[in-house]
Amino acid sequence: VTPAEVSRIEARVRGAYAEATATIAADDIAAHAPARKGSAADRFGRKRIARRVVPIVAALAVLLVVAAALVLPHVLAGPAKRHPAVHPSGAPVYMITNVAPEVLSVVDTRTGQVTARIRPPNSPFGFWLSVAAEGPLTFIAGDLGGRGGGSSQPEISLLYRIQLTSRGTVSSMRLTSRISGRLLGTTIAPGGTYLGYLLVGNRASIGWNWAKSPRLVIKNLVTGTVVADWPVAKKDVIGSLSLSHGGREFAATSYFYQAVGGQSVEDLSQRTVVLSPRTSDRGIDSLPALSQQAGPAVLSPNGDALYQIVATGRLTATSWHADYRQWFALEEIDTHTGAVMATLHRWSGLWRQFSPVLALDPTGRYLLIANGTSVAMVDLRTDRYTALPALPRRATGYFTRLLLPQGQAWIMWMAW
Amino acid sequence: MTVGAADASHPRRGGTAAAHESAGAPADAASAHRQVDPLLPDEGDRLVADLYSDYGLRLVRAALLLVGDKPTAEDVVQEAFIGLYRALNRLTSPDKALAYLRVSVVNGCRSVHRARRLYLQRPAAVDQPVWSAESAAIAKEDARLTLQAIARLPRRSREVLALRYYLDLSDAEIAKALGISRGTVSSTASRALTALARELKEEDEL
Repeated sequence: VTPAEVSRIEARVRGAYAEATATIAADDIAAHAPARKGSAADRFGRKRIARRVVPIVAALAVLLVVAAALVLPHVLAGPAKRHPAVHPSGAPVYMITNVAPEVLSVVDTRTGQVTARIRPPNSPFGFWLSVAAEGPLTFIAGDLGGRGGGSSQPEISLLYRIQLTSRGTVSSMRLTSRISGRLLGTTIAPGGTYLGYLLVGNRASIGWNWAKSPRLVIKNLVTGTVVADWPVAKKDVIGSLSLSHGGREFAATSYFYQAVGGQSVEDLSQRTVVLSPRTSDRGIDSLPALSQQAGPAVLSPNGDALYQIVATGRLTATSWHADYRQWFALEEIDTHTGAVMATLHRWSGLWRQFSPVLALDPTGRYLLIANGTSVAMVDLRTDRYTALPALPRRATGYFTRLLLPQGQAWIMWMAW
Repeated sequence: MTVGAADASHPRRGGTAAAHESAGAPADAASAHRQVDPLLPDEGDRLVADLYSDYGLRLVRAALLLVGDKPTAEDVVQEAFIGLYRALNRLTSPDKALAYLRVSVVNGCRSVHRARRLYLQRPAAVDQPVWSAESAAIAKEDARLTLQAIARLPRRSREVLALRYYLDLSDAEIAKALGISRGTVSSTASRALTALARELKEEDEL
């Protein structure tokens, strides 16, 4: 290291210290020194007896702690916890999800443990909207950054690039771009371009109610160029959106209840459509449906296959809250013909707990499935299904989803 | 400096701000305990109040660089001042009170790190350190990267850098505050700067 480099580093250290310490102003700390404690006798010489007793008590306490440390582990230890086998070679280790809306949780899928929690650094709302994996340790995440000033201004989303360490902690997080609209999903094109889809509406509220029919827009998140857009009927609720890696195919699921204010399952109208830029500007409710279900769906990187969780058999539940047992299936569907090419997994569960989420790894080989706190993985090359350790339950139901029992995780999306 | 005026009239004090800057350690105070009368309670209260007024903020900021978050840094400095009350009757000279505080703050920060080793093993939410990517306190990315690189250095290197480049202490004063030799201070600082240069160069190249 040359003297010039040392001088440069010294200046950089001083600058960093100045920046860090400037976060504490004189007004931030107590105005006066802490008050004196204890009696005059304590302050100016302890009593003789205390001088003798304190060291003896301290020594006994140390002995007690040492003895407890040696004995208690043997007394309290139950059977050793065993984690399932680590992933097959090549499967990503870390997933990022929004177990709570204000926090991204980084989860080690080998253990189910949260290794980092990430809050939006600059957002007045503190509300993450989307995440996508660029690589095993690199993610991009969208945050609702507020409005350009005043409630009548369009919403602004902020896109961050997050780098993890090999231990799952955050190495760096950098603001990549600001995008007009509510960034509901992102993907990374093969050339490295960030693409995203947004719901853009006039005078939209921060909640999910739109004053006017919004538009679904695919944008290049770096240049702001619009790739394609479609109007969405105001009655429709978008359930799931997925963009192929090339940005040429786009899957959307939507649903609505035919009766105003209804929640009856028999009253539920669902559909899944696969869109492409050539259908741009047509209402998504006017395009032919690939299926009549609106379960979560993800597109394969080349857009030829759609992985979707569907309910099998006729739904007879009276409400989406119903304690009604139903069979579900994870299916691989040909996006050109709508034919089911394979059923990758089947399971039965309660209808009111049906809230699964899917995520495909950047290579398109491994599919992650989460439902509540349960997590599993499918190797799409071998169709092998592997249950993974469950996510930790939230201690408090800060944002408990209506469909889930109190205290369970609330997941809208994830990436790995 | 308000304490300077009071010092000038006190027979045991140097009477200048510079005299307060001279470092001293509790060990020195203990060795001379029998030679000096303890401060009277009122004198002690005034000394502590003046030291807090003059150096409280700077010590909290220095502690921030070592522990990473403001509430903990403030707690460490508060405890150091409370400890100073107890040590007043053992100080050989009020001039050594500031040096005593520096040692107490460094030791307090070390205790915090020891306690955190256990605490951080649990997933409970804790205040993010000022240098972390999650912290919103640091606006400049360059400063955050530098602080993150410093945070990865060994404990003694971090202490030497903070005392040298934030508190602007001489190597002799740092040596007394950390209880090590001047040579060790110099070599530790040199190694730390070399490591930082290497790491930040790599970061910049990414």
